[in-house]
Amino acid sequence: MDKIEIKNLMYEYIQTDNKKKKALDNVNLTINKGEFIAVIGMNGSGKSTLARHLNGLLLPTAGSCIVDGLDTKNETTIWQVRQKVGMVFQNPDNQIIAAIVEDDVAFGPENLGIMPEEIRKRVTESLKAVNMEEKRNFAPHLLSGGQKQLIAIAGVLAMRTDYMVLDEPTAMLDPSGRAAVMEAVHKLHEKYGMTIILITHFMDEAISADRIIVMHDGKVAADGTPREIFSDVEKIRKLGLELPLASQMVHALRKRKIEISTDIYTDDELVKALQL
Amino acid sequence: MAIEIENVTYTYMKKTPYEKDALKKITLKIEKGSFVAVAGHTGSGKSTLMQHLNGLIAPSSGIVKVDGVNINSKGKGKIKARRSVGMVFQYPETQLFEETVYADIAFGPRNFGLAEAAVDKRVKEAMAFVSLDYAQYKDVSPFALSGGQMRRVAIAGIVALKPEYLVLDEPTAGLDPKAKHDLLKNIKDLYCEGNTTIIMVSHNMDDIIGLAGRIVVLNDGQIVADGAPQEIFMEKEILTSAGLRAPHLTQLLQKINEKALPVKLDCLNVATAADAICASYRRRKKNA
Repeated sequence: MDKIEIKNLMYEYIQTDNKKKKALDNVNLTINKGEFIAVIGMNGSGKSTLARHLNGLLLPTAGSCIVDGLDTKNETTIWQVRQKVGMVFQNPDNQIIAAIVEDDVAFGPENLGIMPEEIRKRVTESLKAVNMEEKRNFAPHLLSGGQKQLIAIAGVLAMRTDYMVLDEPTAMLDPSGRAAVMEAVHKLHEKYGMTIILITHFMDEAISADRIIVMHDGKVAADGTPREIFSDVEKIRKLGLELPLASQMVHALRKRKIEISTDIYTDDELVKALQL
Repeated sequence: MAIEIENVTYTYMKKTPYEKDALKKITLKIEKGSFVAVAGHTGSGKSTLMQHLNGLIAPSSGIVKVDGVNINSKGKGKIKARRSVGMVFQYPETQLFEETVYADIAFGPRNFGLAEAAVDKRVKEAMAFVSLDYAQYKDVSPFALSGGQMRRVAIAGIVALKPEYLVLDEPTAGLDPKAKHDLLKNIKDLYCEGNTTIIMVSHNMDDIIGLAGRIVVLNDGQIVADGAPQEIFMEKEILTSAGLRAPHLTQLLQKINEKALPVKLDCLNVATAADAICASYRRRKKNA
């Protein structure tokens, strides 16, 4: 029961030139509770469309998406699904609604009809979890992009969702904002056991996941551990992706006749391999 | 010939409790023919500074001159000077509006009063620059394209104006690795052709490395560093306090240098870095 099951999922829409396009084409996936999954792929490969199915923002043209046994197509249970699956989008300015940070974080739980006492507790906890407690009385528009994303994440956390879907949460952020958001995401996974589905274009973010799903042309083109995914250099290139920097370096060194293992994906692994 | 920013201060929401100096007495000269990157974290004043370059906002005090003409003066030369600076904003694809790719790119040149034949030539050239096939895409709706393609159409719309100075604000944000790589190559090619000065705003040093000949770092509305990439990348403290990081490649080389092998740190691409590591590795092997 505790998983998201995507079965034969198709999603079609009509393009501006009146032609039908399959944004998702027979996708089959199981997302188990507790996983940390990165979804990568080119622009237009169907990543965001897939993400929007996970909490019923989009409904399949054919096939189904079942969250902990609940079909997203069933209108009577859709709100239960949305309590289970939280979403954080790319643009921090599009998802903040309140004039004060703590009100924004409280918005979700308030809508669930939770008692004020409990809401207060959750807001404090959630803001603490993302290191933003000192900003609780700030106006969100005075925060940086990274801080706004942390508030959005705290909002999802306050709803106690089991799954958190993040659609390129760091694309608009500067390096320090990016680092803070990624740190918060990893903390939610490790400390709160939240299942993470992270859509990203940064290979170095993807490499820190337990599992990578590569989307291409509306289909799942690859699904495996970071090591499995990045070991197939030709395929990675064909899918319009790139290797993590450490792997690129390994390939460049091997071309220069240095004997070094191809099984290196992170900076630390490369440094270690070059030590005596 | 240059863009000269002299003592520019810009104050937001003047005479309100939220009054803030977004730029504080900035003086900066961007020579024609250079490729300058402007880096800084969100809120450092980069975008505000860029909007001064073609008069979208006027300084609260100080002067902005393009090729010697004060672009906020009342004189005749003002419009021409402003037109010589082309601006590509963040997420420019949100500004596409025409029914076809051709019409969208042609919009600017037509408004500048060019004849249809000249417009046609400009559109073809601009599409070639951003690697969009003319025959295949000219009649397509820009909204039927992928994100990376839409970005390229938007940039082509500015390139078609043939600005002498091209300002790009975070041009690669949100693009997949291949689209990013292709776009950066287009920008490099445009620069190498020699008629365009490029000013690229980015907080991502990985995009700047290998492109810009000079990096200007902004923090809190002031210039905190200005120099060649190799010098700037070594300024760890300045970068960190400005909310930035050295490029990933520089960081990797620093780690290798610290913990494994002595290597020089000022390599700007994987190939030269691999050469440096390789040389050091062989030296160690020989001496062992």
